[in-house]
Amino acid sequence: MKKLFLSLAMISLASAPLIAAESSASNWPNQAINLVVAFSAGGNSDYNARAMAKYVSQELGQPIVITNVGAAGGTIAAAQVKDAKPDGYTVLVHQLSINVAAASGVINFTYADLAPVAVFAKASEEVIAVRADAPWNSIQDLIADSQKNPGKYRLTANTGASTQWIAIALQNAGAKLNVVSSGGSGERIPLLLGNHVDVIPIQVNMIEDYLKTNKFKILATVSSQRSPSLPNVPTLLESGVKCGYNYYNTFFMPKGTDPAIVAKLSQAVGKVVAGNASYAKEIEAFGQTPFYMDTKPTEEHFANELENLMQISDVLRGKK
Amino acid sequence: MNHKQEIGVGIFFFILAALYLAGSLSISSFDPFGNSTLTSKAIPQLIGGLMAVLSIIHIAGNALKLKRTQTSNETGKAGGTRFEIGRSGWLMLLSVLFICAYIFLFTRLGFILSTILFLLAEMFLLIPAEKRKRWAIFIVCFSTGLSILLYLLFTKLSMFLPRGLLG
Amino acid sequence: MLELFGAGFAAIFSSPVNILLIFLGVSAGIIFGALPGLTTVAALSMFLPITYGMDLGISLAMLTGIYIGGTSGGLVSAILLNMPGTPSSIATCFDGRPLALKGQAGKALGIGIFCSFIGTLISIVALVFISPVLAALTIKFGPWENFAVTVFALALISSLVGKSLVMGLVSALLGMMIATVGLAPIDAAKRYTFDSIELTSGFTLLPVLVGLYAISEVISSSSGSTDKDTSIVTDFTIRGLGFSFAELKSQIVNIIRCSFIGLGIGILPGIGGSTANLIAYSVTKNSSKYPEKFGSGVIDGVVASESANNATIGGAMIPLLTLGIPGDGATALLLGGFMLHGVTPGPLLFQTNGAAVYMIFAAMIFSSFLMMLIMYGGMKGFVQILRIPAHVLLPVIVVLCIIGAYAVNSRIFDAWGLVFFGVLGLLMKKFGVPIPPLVLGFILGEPFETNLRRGLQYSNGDFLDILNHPIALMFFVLLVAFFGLTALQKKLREKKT
Repeated sequence: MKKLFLSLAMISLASAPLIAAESSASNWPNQAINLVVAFSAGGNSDYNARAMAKYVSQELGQPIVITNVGAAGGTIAAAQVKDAKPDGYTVLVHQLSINVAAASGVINFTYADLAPVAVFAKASEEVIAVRADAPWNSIQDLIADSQKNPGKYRLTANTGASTQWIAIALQNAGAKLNVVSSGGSGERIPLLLGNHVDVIPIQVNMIEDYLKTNKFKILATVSSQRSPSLPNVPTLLESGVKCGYNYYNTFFMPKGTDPAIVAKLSQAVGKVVAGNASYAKEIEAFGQTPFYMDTKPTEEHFANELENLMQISDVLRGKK
Repeated sequence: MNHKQEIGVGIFFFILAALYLAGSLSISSFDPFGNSTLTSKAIPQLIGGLMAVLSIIHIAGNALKLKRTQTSNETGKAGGTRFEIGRSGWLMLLSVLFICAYIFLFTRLGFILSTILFLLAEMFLLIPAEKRKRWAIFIVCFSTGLSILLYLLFTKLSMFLPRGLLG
Repeated sequence: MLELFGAGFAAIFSSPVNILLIFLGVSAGIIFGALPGLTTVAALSMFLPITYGMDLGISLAMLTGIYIGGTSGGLVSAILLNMPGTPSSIATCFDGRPLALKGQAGKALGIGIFCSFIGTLISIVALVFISPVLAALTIKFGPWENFAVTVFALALISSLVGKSLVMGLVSALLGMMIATVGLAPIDAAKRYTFDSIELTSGFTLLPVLVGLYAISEVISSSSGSTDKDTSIVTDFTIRGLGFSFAELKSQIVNIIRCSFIGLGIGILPGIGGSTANLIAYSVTKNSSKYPEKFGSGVIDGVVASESANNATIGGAMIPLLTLGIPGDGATALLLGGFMLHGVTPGPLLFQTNGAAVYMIFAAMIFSSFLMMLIMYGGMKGFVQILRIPAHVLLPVIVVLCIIGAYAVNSRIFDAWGLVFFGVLGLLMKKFGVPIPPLVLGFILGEPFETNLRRGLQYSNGDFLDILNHPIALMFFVLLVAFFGLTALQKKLREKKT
């Protein structure tokens, strides 16, 4: 038995140098890339990651293996990739949540401890929805009514998640809502339908049926600019509520990755988004438009967003 | 069941409950909108408190029974309950250690190599000594074959297993 | 409706590829379900990406096939190895295993498969015909209603405690303790995380369950002792389907009752379909004429568990298809399957994608029949597992469990959890602390706290607000009535003897 172990060990030692990949920017990638999606399979980030991976891997000529590390709002995945070898073969898919987690102190690092590569897709807009028979037609109506009836109307928000940003901003704008917890976005729809809550933030593609059947209506979008698909709906920012965000699905690499590798991946993504007709077709069927930001603007976007969030970080952290 | 042992179990759970309650004190309570009546401390304190009470009941109940049996049956000493690690105990302990080693090597050596090593070690551990020679070749082939098969199967099914020297 | 159904079946049988894909789905589901450590959710998340390129109808048909196969497959390892293959078949072990030890593995498997089939079918019928009604009921459930249901389920633990009520409750509390590790509901406060990012995400059900049952079983079997509880069964006989018509007849009420329990639990998002088998088991035990025999190998226990767990399938599909709400891990992945095809289930799904919906219905019926055929066909093969020598079988089970635990989130931490709970399970067995209450406490701990605290939040801190919620009150009345009746029944029986 000892002999067997010995020979096994010998074989593995002997073959090691042959397999261990030499990583330099010029021949990157020469082996499969591990793409860590910070959310579970089937969600928006996962879908976008898979759609992009399919075309980027054609572009790069190497397979991309996708792993979902969905626990704890994506913080586990971020920590895993942060500590991974910066050889260009581990890539993280994350979005806004990494900034919210940093601002609320759930994680003790920020996006800046990773190397942002590129924004490769933009999820459908988050909106503020209420039941169609609600007496309000704008955010201002809601705020005014809630001041007359403090604590009567219920708004859902989750601690340490982007929705809490909305709640804090609304209260800061003068609203006197009862901010309650709801769980994931899927749970908010029945709560609103069943009169358990009165105002919910939700991604617009999840409530399309309810808008068509006249069960729900939209008071505002949460995007930073008016959305091309909902041109008549004002944003929260326009309504005087200091909160605006988009879910930008973004590739990150471990900090210390060769900038040339980062640039290579970003260019490949840019090429797919700009010029690949079958990718565009696939994304549009999902209700999105192709979207891309190169490394520099991506970094700026995350820096800006984090700065905005840090302004309310004390409330996010529960200090007053 | 032996009452002394039951008292021991009760004491264990009482200590656990006490530690758990002590730990609950350091949970930061956080109420950004001032509307939650119960904080995150409340339920742990309920659970810990209930467990402490129940374990005291368990200890007391068994202490009473112990007293009764001792007075009625002074000679009935429970022999042979002393904990001995026999061959079976060692086998269990080694199994646990092998599993730990396997998990430790899982991401370091990669799936295939760590699985081959684990299967070899665990199979040789569990097989009765007299059969070891006859099964040796089967075990070696089986471990290698199964590891490679599982690796190919699961990675084909879009699942990520740790890549290693042989992956 | 009939035409739509016809079209649904026609869509499946129009191409041999479709039939093959569903067959593959059901078989893969059964295999994943039957192997300890690998679960339905793991199978679904592995196959989901493969269905990206297919049409909506067939991809969902294949996924529901996996769902049905996976939920049914768990009974095999529960009965033969005393390791529940999935959380859905924990209660199947209680009587399935003693039956197998008595040499009646064939009977336990046979009746289990049949009940899985009937449970699935009953729930599909409910799904097809009364889902709008049931969906309207779903949205009536807010925090207080969910809280009441959770308390009801927690109270049922008392009938799973075994010899000592006190130790049973302690075990349930231990489960609730384990569930509190990680981020708290509502305010995401860190609890018992010791500044470890791994502990912050808490323990998932898989390592807890697989550790407590499978790994602890492997470790104790590895001692090589000839202890009757841990040795592997080797004698068995199978005739026909394994059970007699008379046996089936005596179980009809049980099958229907437990199918409805499963259906109900499946419909309510947020309770967790994996508790259905345990709840059905305890209800059956409490209302039985011979509760003392449960656990010693009566088919009632297997029937209860297996009809209930399969009935959650149709139940969980109702809020998914009519409201777009996933009730558990499996349906969350099915929702993903819809979204990937640019379709969000909701009230208009039947209008916008009616053809696909009826193809899914047809596929579910087809899959249930396929499941039954494959499992009866494989039954003789399954029992051959018992002929595999322990020194080959046990190490392989460990490998599969570790793959399964690792697969969920690619976290080695979950594999360590497996060992931790394996040793815990071993110690609990040694010192006579029952394991099932721990599992139920673990699963229900989180909804208990979340819904209680949410209810208080929604009512601005007024606990008496629960009185304004008739459905919640009804569950409390039901609870009192249930235990009252059980006690009364017991008294009457004692008088007779």
